[in-house]
Amino acid sequence: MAVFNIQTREIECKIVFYGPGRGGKTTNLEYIHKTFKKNITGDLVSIDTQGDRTLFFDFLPIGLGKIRGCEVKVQLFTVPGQPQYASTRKLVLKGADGIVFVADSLKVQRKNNILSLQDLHDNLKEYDRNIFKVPLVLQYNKRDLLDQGLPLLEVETMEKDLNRQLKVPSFPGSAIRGDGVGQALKKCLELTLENLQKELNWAG
Amino acid sequence: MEFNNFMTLKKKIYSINKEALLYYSQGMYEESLLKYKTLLKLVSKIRGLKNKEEIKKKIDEKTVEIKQKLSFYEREGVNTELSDSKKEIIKKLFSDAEDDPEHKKFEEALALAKFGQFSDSIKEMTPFLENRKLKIDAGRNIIRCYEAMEKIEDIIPLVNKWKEKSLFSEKEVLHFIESSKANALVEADSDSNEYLEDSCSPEIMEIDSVGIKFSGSERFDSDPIELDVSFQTGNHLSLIISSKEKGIIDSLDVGVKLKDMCFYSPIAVFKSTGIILSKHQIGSGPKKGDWCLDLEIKNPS
Repeated sequence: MAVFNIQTREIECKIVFYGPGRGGKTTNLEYIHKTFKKNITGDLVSIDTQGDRTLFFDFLPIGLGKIRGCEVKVQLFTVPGQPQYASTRKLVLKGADGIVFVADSLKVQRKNNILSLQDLHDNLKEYDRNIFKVPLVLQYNKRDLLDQGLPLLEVETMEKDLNRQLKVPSFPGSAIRGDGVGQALKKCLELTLENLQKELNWAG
Repeated sequence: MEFNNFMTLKKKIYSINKEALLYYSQGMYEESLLKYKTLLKLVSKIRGLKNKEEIKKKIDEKTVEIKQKLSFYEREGVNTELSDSKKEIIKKLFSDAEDDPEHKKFEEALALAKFGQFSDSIKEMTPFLENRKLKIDAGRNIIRCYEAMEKIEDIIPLVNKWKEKSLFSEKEVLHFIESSKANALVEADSDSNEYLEDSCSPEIMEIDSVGIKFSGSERFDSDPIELDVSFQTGNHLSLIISSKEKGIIDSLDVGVKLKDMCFYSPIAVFKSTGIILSKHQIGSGPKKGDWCLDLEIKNPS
């Protein structure tokens, strides 16, 4: 959970990029690292990868500068998406203040999106947290693949599958091109900071 | 084959091949493999196709390559030995008891184990075997690391060494063995069975909660306090005490003998005495800040 240092007026929170394997979570972080240079406060670290798959997690620290008199630092994490890394995923999710769920727009990934969201729900529940109350946004990634002729899910279908009950902000995107990455992160940060304001009253 | 049919088939082959390649480029090897299998079936059915065998051979080659990729990914990858810098990052990011340096170091060692760095975790956890507050947890975690490394046969010699060094009592050592996978080895070994029989305490039924009466304490003199059992192995119980119960926590130090205890099980209630084996504050999770207390039931009657 977020750490608020009242003396230094510094708040540090954790955002986790969750979603099915091969869905583009690491690509999201890579784009953020490449694009939002002035906010980056450290290296993008991948621990560890097997080929191009995340085994443990990726980590990127960013700084948002002063917000309402408080220095806001954010730790961005990705979880490993493959089903066999369930325990690592749960471990990385622990203490998340906000979540960006990166869903894969490819038709063949429809079931995996749903299973991954269910997995997120279950893991949050194990930490005594409610998916309906956690700051959460959805990103429908890989929309660019439509241009290459691959069968994609309609955004409406993804909304029905994943967001019918949650009703959280959602963003079609392409992490490889950077579409929707900044918007999803920005919205997630807004929701997270609003939520932390209620919990910690950090902005006074 | 009619020209139109041929063109339709050609388009289909082109489309499936493109999909297979794109899935491959996305790292979605299972999906790519399926497409290549469909492609192979389709190509095999076409009569009179020029270079048919050559095309089939190419698809086969691609299929083999994908299968190799898949078997590479299916191999257990989490037993990777990480670099020192990555281990440091894990320790920093996954230990959160910042206000207590000793506890933070303990959590760092624990984090290493959680990310499969078992040898390092054992190394960093070992000094805590001499820490009164954390030694039971340290012992448990070291044993879990041995289990994860599938070095089950090393557990009994290890805990016996702890006993020789007077780090743990005979009963604590026995408890470690009983609650580890090494217990199966003990049961299979008749010599070790003798050891078990010699020192094993009488069988204790499942206990839901315990009542503790503090004699001589002004605060708790009237009624016994009742605490729920969160975990039980034999006559060893783990209790969780809310951080709000400061008075109770302060009264229950390691080594304290509880002379007036009641044990509530679904089928019976019995009185006995107990001794506090360990006490530590939970550093993470929903119970963060609460206290975990391990006690041993003595002389059940």
